This record gives sequence, C-alpha cells and structure tokens, in this order.
Amino acid sequence: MQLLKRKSIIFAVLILVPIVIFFVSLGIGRYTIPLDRSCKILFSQIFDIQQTWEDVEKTVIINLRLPRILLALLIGAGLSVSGASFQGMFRNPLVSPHILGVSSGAGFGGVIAMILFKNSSLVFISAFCFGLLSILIAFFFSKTKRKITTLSLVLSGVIVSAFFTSLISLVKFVADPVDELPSIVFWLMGSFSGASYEKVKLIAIPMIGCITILFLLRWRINILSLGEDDVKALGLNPNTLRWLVILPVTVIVSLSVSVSGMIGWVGLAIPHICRMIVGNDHRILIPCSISVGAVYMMLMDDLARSLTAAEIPLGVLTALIGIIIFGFLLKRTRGGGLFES
Amino acid sequence: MKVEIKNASFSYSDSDYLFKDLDLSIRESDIVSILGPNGTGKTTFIKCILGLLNFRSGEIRINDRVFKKNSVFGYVPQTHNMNVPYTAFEMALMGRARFIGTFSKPGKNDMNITHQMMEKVGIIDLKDRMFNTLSGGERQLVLTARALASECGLLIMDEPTSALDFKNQYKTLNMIKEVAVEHRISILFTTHQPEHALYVSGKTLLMGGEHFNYFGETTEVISEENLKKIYGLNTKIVEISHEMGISKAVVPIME
Repeated sequence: MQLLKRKSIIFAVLILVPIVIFFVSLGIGRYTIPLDRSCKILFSQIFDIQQTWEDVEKTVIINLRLPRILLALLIGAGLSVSGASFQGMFRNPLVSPHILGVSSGAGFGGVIAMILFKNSSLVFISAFCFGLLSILIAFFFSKTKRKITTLSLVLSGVIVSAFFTSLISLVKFVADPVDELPSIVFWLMGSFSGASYEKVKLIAIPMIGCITILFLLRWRINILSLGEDDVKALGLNPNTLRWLVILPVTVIVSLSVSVSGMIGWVGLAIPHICRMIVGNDHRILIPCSISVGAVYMMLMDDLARSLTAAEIPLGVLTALIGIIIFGFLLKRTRGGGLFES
Repeated sequence: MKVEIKNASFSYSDSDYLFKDLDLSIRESDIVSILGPNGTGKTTFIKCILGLLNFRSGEIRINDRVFKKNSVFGYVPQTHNMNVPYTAFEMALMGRARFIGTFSKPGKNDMNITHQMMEKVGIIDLKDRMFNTLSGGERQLVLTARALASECGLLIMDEPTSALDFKNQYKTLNMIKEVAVEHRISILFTTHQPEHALYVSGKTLLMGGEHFNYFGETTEVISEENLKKIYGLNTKIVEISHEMGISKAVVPIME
C-alpha cells in the first residue's frame, strides 16, 4: 500500500510538472506576459472569454510561442526517452540516441537541402530521409553472417556518424561564406525559432506514436538490458526486440533534427539524471525520462529566447546546462550504478 | 518433457571437433548430469541445446518432434557476473517474459507465481535485495527461481553447485530432486563432482573429448574404468551404508 501510494505520487508529479511548465513558458520571453493573462489568451481559443489583453499579446502567444513550446515539449520528451531506451538496450550509460549516426545523417540531409533547394519544407524532408537512410547503412555494415550484435551495431553507427559528419564539413566548406554558411551553422546548433503549426502538425502524430511504443516496451527494455544470452534463454527474440526499439528512436531523432537541428546532450544527460532520481527500472525510468525531457527542453527554450536580445542557439544551452547539472549529480550520487562493476 | 538429442557435433573450425556424434535422451522428470574434464565442451553443449550456439550437425527432438525454438527451456548459467541494476524479485519475474505480450508488463498472476517460485527455492528473504549485491550462490538461486517461473519443461543448469558451500551443495541437489518430481520437469545439469551425479541423477553423460562420450545409467557410466579413461585418474568407488540407506563415494587414489 505504501509502495502503491509512492508510485501514484511519482506519476502525479511526472504529469503535473510538464503542464505547469507549459503554462509558465507561455508568458516567458522578451515580451513578458503575466501567467493569468497568458492562460486566458490560450483558453480564449477554445472558450468564449471576454478580451482583456492586447492583440499583440495574443499574436505573441498563439502565433509565436505556442508552436515553439509544443515542439520543445515533443522533441524534449522524444530525445530523452530515446536516450533512456538506447542506454538500456546497449547496456551502456554512455550511449545517446545519436549513437547510430542518425542525427549526423539527418544533419547532412538538412544542410545539403539548404544549399541545393533553399526551401524549408525540402530541408525537412531531406533531413528526415537521410536520417532513415543512415540507419539502413548502419544496419548494412553491422550485419555479418546473418547476425547482428550490439557491438557491431555501435561500431557501424560510429562509421555512419563519422561519414556524415565529414560530409557536413564538406558542405560547409563549399557553402557561400556570406550567405549560406551562417544559416547552416545556426541550423546545426539547433533552435526552435523556425517553429510553426505546420511543423507541429507534421511531427506530432509520429512523435507521440513512437514515444508511446517505447513507453509500452518499457518492461521489455529491462529484459533487453540483461544481454543477448539472457533474452534468448527467456524465450524471446533479441533481434526483433532490438529493432522494435531502434526504429521508433530513429524516427524520433530524424524528426527532431528535421525541425530543430541538432540538439545534443538531452538524450544522454536527462535519462541519467532520471536514473539517479528514480533508479534503473525502466518501468518507471521511461515515463520519468519522457516527463523530465519535456520539462527540460521547454525550460531551455525559455532561456534561449529570453536571456539575450538575440537568441542563443538551443543546442549550446542544452549541452552547457545539461553538463553542469549532470556533473553535480554525478558527484553527489557517484554514478547511480548502471552496469558498473 | 521428453527431449532427445541425436548425433550432435560441434566444432569451431572444420577439423577439430569439441564433441562428435553425441546422443542424449531425457524423459519427463529425469535428472541427467553431465560430467567431464575442463574444456571438453560441457557448457558449449548446453548452449547449443539452448540455441545460444548452433550444433554443427545433429538434431533436437522434443516429444518426438524436431524442435526449432528454445522457448521451452529454462537456463541457469554458471556465472552471472554481469551487473544488473534490478532487485532479485525483478530478476526472477523476468522468467515470465514469454507469457507477457511485447507491449505489456507483468500482472498480479505473474507476481504471485514468481513469489511462489522464490519461496520454493528458499530465497524469498532476498526478494528486495539488489541482484548485484548477492553472492554467486544466491544469484544462481535467483536464476533458478526465474527458470521455474518460466514454467519450462526442461531446466538446464550449468554447474549449479560450484559456487556453493558443502551444505548448500546438497541443499541445491535436494531442491533439484524435489523440483523434478513436483513440477514434472526434466533437469540437465553439469558438475565436476561424480558424487553429485551419483546422488541425484538417474542418467549421466560423460564427456571426455571427441572420442570418449558415454551416456547411460549413472551407476553404469560412472565406473572406475570410465573415470580412468576420461580423467586419467585412478579411483575407487565405494558404497557406504548408513541409517538412511546406501551412498556411494568416489575416492581418488593418488600415487
């Protein structure tokens, strides 16, 4: 009973905190709007509320901030749950969702489209397709004698990642240094400044779908984390199970790079921070990662758009702050004990 | 469960066979032991049966059918030195995996069965301990409970007594006996102690390299002559009568 109570408290916190942060974020930015007014503006979209705000406030919240916050929420949750799943599956705490080279592939797809087509929807499509392509390449290299081991998968991920990173450098080199290079560099650093309802609509359903799949697989990920022999001895097929995890993660990472560039460290640091708080059982770790990832990304985006007059690239912020929090927690909890000897 | 293995061979290269043309048959509730010097392929043989490795040739028949998937075998490996960040109960609960849908998690029934099996094996007190803080012997017992929770027809144990003290060795052997009868499952285990084979197993497979494999009734297979052939060691097998009956002991005779 005590345990059940504790569990429901944890779940309540995991659901409530993102909601609170969501509403708070609406008011934060260069143009500050009080919480009650921003909530009223949001609900006026659904309910009939007498207008007590200025039109410009409504534009800021509905047209600018809301799509950004929704994207941040989705992508934060997605990257973080991907990281948690991969760390469990690869049995390695140093793994991030970028390990298989998907984000480098998607990054390359994005920058090449920026140079060739200069059209933002083509950038999105190209980035997404190259993300999927890179997992196919990783799959091709890791397949030896009709068998795939996690080690060969990680190694071929390193190959794919290095390959596309070099190609990105090549694109940067040939790009016009006045016109194209700055936009490529900023795009790669990650930002939600290009957020729109189109993008939210495009990614919302696949993103939520993939997060749900990983959420439902959470007990299976516990088993996967025991290693291949154990999975087989328990009568399950490790290969099928692995791809059930890899595919949603690939889609999540490709989508997130497509709409917001490369945002690092969320998928590595957040699951770790969650491990240190709730432990290593993925049944609780996965929901925790979803919630904390969403909260973290919304907060980082709040900072990115409010700290200085010019926007700070989001990827820089997530890495900087993520590392600092991570470092302090590491020192306090001595690592949290994932697969350490 | 009736399990038959016919003409099983294994080699890492094309010429050097670890074992060749092995036959083994296990009937329901049978306890079969595998005995042999280090490096003769006992663990490899077990892994092949489990499908973790593949026989070079040979087939496995279960209840007279050729068998493809290993989901019906429980496995207790020799050392589980991997550091698992779960409690003993969580670990044992994973035995239920094949009854639980890919997208769901264990329910009340699974918890109850796991609880029962941990009680049966005598480790219910360790329930909430972290698996990686347990001793080698305790880990093996947790994995035994996990295998039992999987409702396997054949339980395969790799040296279940090697990490245990003198008393716990026999406690485990007695548990093996009980489990085989009560759950009507067959048990295959490896050991380095001929006396353990004599104590619990009806049949024994002696593995002594490519050309020396004997399978049959334990009392016939474990003979002074066969032990000499396989270990190159002189032994005397003696019978000792006591108030509970007769026990056999294998005494090495050193020059």
